[in-house]
Amino acid sequence: MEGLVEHHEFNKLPEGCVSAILSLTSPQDACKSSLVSTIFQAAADSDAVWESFLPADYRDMVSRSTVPCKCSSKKELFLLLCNSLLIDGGRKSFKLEKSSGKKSFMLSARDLHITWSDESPYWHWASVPESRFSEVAVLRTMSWLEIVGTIRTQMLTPLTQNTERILF
Amino acid sequence: MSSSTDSPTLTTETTQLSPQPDTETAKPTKKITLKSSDNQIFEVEESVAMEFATVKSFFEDSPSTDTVPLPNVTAKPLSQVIEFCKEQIKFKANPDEAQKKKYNAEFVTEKSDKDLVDMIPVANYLEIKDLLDVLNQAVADRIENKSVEYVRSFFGIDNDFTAEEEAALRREHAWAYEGVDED
Repeated sequence: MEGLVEHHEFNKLPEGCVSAILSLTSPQDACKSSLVSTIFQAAADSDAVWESFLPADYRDMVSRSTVPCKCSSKKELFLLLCNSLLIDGGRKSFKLEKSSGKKSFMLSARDLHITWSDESPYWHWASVPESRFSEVAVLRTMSWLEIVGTIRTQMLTPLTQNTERILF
Repeated sequence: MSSSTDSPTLTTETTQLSPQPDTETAKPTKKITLKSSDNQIFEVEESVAMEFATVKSFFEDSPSTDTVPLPNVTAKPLSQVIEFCKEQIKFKANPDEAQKKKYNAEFVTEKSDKDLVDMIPVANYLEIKDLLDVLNQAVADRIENKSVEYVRSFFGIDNDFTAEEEAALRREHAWAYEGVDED
């Protein structure tokens, strides 16, 4: 009687199994494992693996980008999103943390609520070459400092402790 | 005057509660023979063999068969896979998610790296999705944040890159090799 379908080199792990395992690790582990062997390299570059590292709403982020993101693979897209991307008409910046794939957002001064920011004795708006954003708010003098930033929690990485920082 | 229609008669109750013959246990369970590539014979209950999607579809195609040769599967991983599936059958009969989770975790914890790696192609070939998920997660946990050399020896894989290819790959993902755990 004939046996079930013969597999050549059966004792080797099939690429699909390697991809399934790598999807459960981290972007850093996947990149590193390209060096294990040629089968691992093929698995580590596969869209199946990188799709699992991209945030669930990555298509939404890409559609909000100020510049079009053209990528031939999910891995390329992931690495592109690790460099910050201006979204929402340049009012926010978005990036993925390379080793974990977690999201981070930066709100531009225009996206913050700054009390009296349109009162020229206190604040003025300037363009600074070092800033990723087109405009920054420059403080002239103040008697009252109030800056409020809001972000929708659905945009943040789930089950993650988020931290906020204000950059001057 | 008491109403006799309100109280059910004792005889009716007794009839309703009388034990039915247990057809499940009375019926002899069919055994299926699996033959590993190293010619070991495993006799398993039909319900266990049907957990293997590959074996199940084999039987659907040729129902009269009673021995299934598995030319790609050696005895050791096969016996471990059978052990896992026998337990899963019990959880199917009496669902207990917490116990099942505990069993699955213990099943992989007590296995060596080699045992896990050897079972993956078997679970993949026999299409046992639950087991494959458990094994993949266990292996992913064991290789996370480890060095390339560690992963190679974990899977028993030889480096098949040339020195030039290896150097190019190291340059491409230089950041990824930083801060790995000690082997």
